[in-house]
Amino acid sequence: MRNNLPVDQDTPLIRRFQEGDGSAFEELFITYQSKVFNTAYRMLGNYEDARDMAQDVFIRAHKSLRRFRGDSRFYTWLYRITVNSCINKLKSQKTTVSFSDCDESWERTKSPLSWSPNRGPIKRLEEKELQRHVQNGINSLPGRYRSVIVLRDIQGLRYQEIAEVLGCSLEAVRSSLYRARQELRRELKGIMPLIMNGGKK
Amino acid sequence: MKCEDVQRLFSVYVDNQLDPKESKLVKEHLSDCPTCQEEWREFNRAVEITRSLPEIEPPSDLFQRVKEGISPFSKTKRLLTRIARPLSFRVPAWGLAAVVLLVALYLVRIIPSPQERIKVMTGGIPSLSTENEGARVTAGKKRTPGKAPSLDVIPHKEELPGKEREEPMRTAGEPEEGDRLAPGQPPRAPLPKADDRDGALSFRSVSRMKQTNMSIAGPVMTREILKMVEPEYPNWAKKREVEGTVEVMCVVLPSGEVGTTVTWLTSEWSELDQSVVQAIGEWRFEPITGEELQAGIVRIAFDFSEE
Repeated sequence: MRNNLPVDQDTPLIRRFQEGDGSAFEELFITYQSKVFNTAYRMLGNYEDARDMAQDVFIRAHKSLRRFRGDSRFYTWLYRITVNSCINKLKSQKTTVSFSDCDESWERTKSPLSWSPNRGPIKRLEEKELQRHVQNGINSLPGRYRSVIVLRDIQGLRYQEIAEVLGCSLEAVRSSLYRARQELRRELKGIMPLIMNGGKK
Repeated sequence: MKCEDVQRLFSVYVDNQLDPKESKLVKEHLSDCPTCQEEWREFNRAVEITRSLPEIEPPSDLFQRVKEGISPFSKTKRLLTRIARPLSFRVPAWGLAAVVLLVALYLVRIIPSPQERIKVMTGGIPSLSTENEGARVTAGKKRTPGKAPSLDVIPHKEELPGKEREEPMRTAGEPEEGDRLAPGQPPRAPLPKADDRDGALSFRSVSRMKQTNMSIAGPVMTREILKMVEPEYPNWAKKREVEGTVEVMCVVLPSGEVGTTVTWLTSEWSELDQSVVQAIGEWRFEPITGEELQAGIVRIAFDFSEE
């Protein structure tokens, strides 16, 4: 299956790194920092956690890159570290309630229906508001569902790539993506009237 | 095709991952079935809206952070920052406490006269009365003798005009009634004689008596202390060789009087704490113009061994 995948474009950089060229790591970082950070941001739901997570992921990657043998492509490997670390963090968070959680749950209790119709200058604000609701919707999903949604709909990975990141079959990607999206849609039910075609019922 | 089956394909359909034949079937069904149409619209919209979430700019110092993490010294460094982190909370906590105090001050509308001063005691201060264990409690670290200028207080003779002196000068260490000491202003010029071991809070030593070391931190530390009252060191405590450090947070009014006082760090001996709170309440700082309420922490270390 792997043979069907295109060649990993990062292989030369990884080789350079393994031969002791430290700048190669910086190049990899520049290429992937936004992907790693945004994946963590959407999965964890807040900036500080995402920043710490991204930092952690790159430190880990740096540590393991010497032993990286190219069994998978570099970026799916990097995504795997990111997603798994995030899922682990979410698991460990379950027992502790962080401030941001309180914050978000508080925000969620505010009725989305209290918005004014999106016209004029308020529109931008509403867009922000809407984004927050969608993020809150993602936050309410279990880690596994978050990861498929983030990888597919935010990072834009193909099914095959997602399967590689998560280490599962294509069929598993399809079905968990379906369930995750249904779940998210249920979460967004409250704001559906507002997001349907720009506020029209 | 049944509605159920069609809806199950939505996810793959939205990703264009259906083969053309299936795709055509779904399309046909949707055009005939209003229920599925509505379902599809919602499903599709939910996916669209997720896809429209913006990309967030990563923090600009991210690489710096990563570099710190991968440098050879990183392990100790990270460990150190982890240890040091709680310390960094001292400042905000301190600021917060000041705010709480100020709010309390306004709420109770303290009239800044000594009689009506309200003292807020916070925290359960245990009154330890166990006779055993050597009855020696040392909260806070001990000051090394000889660190501060060895003689008690350098009397600051030059009276500033227009500043009333509440107390006549008296030599420190002359414990008449145990109460009043009039050390005058501490030397002010080379500020702060900082005792930096607390990192965020640096204390300026204001007086070093035979049994008590007094120092002060916070915004108010730059003001002269016109009147200093040494807290009573109860005889029982001396006898039992009880030591301890008490820190009292106070709000100083523009007039120089002390408004509210709160035990900030307990010696774990309520009587000692109380004696400090009481004494600090009597202090008088240099007045300032304006209406600024300044906060400060006065630290008093009782040390019987100094005698």
